[in-house]
Amino acid sequence: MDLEDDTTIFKTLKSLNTFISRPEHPQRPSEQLGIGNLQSHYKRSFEILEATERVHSQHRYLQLDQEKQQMELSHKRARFELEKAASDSARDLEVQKNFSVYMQKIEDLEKERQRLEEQNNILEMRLERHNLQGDYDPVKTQVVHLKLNPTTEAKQQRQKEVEDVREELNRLRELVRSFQEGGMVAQDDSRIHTSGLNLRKQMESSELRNQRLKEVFQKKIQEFRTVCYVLTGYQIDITTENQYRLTSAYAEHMQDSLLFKKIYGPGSNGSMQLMETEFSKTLGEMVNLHLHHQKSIPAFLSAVTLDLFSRQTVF
Amino acid sequence: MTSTLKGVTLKGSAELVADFFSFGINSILYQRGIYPPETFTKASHYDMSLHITTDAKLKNYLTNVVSQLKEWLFECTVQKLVLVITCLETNEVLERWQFDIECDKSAKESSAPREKSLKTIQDEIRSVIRQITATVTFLPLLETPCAFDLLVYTDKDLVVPEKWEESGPQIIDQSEEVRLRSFTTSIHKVDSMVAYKRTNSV
Repeated sequence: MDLEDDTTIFKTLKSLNTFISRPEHPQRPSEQLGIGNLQSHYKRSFEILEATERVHSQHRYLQLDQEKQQMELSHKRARFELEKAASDSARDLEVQKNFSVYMQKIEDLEKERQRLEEQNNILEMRLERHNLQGDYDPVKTQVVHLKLNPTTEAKQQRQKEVEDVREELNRLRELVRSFQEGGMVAQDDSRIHTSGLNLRKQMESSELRNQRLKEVFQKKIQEFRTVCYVLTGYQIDITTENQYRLTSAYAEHMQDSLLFKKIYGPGSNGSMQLMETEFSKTLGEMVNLHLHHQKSIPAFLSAVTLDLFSRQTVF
Repeated sequence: MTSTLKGVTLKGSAELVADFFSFGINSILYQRGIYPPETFTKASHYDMSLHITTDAKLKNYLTNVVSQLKEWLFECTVQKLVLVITCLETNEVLERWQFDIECDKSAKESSAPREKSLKTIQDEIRSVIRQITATVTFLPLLETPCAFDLLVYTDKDLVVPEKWEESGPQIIDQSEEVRLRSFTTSIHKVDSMVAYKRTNSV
């Protein structure tokens, strides 16, 4: 058909061409021929116009046909692609469906995980708090303490105190009752009781004072004896009632001592008398001189001191 | 002390921790006025001045507990030591000083000493005792006569010694808790904390 069309176009074009090229030459004869030729000229141009019109429409038709074919082709191609796409997308759709299911699952799991994490945090905090407060797992742990501990003892002590107080209360209640019943008798009774208590208290305090004084005296006496010994060179001891033993700091033997006795009686008010000892027997001269003649015990004692002292420092 | 500059052995660690408890308990009893201040004397330890009881009975009790504790520390069977302060009028627990002990039980198998200097450990212990002293500023005043007891949390399978007995945990009803510093000998880790009864006056 295409070929047929093409030949028609060619034929038409050819005839048109010959038609156009022809009147070039008869132009001059037309001038020569005049009005008789004008009519045929007009007819010809009309024919030309008609032929041109035909060629144009023919050409137009061919163009449209071509376009139609192209369109059909692209339509075919589009349909094919569409079908292909349709089958592809069907497969994709399934994948996509699965995909979104998985996504949802992941999302759900993530949410669940977050929830569990929060819960875990809360539980851990609670556990930490319980631990801080002293809670424990009885499967793994036991709590022990010494049976005899300060708290138990303090509680026992308190219990005892409570019992004592209760006892005292009962006793006092009893006393009040007997007072209400017996009047004066009970009153006297209680007064005696309290005065007895007071006396005992006084006694205790005076005993304590006595004890203190004793301690002070003991100290003072010792101090006094030491001073005497240092200053006079004699240690003085009371052996029996009214007898005094003097031991010199420079004595050659431990037992070398002088014994004095206090004499009571008319004319000899508290005077001292030398008693005989092993040591005094060796001091005949000094006894004679200082005691019998000079009647001075201090002079005698000094002489003895000097004598013993000189003996010590001879060599 | 068995721990030297070379490191810490299990035995040395047990002694260090037992010593800490001895001084720590004395400090708490002094700070919280459980015993009259005149029954304490000052002693120098960890490069600081500490109060140590002179009360013979209390001393004896503390020695008994601490020496037993040392044994348990060496065996790694002790989990906590708790000093519980109880009000004698209401029998209510007012304060709980809790020391959580984590023992590295692997130290029982290998006797190789850990590399941690005694000085570092003592520095850590000193900070804990300082903090115990400082807590007096926020703990409620103990206005009633109180007594204390020492509880030991041990492993369940431990055989309870003759003079000891099981006890309750003596938990405070409605308490506030404060965590204090920790120290570690690298074998024993000790976490300190105090819980005290919430007062409604605030």
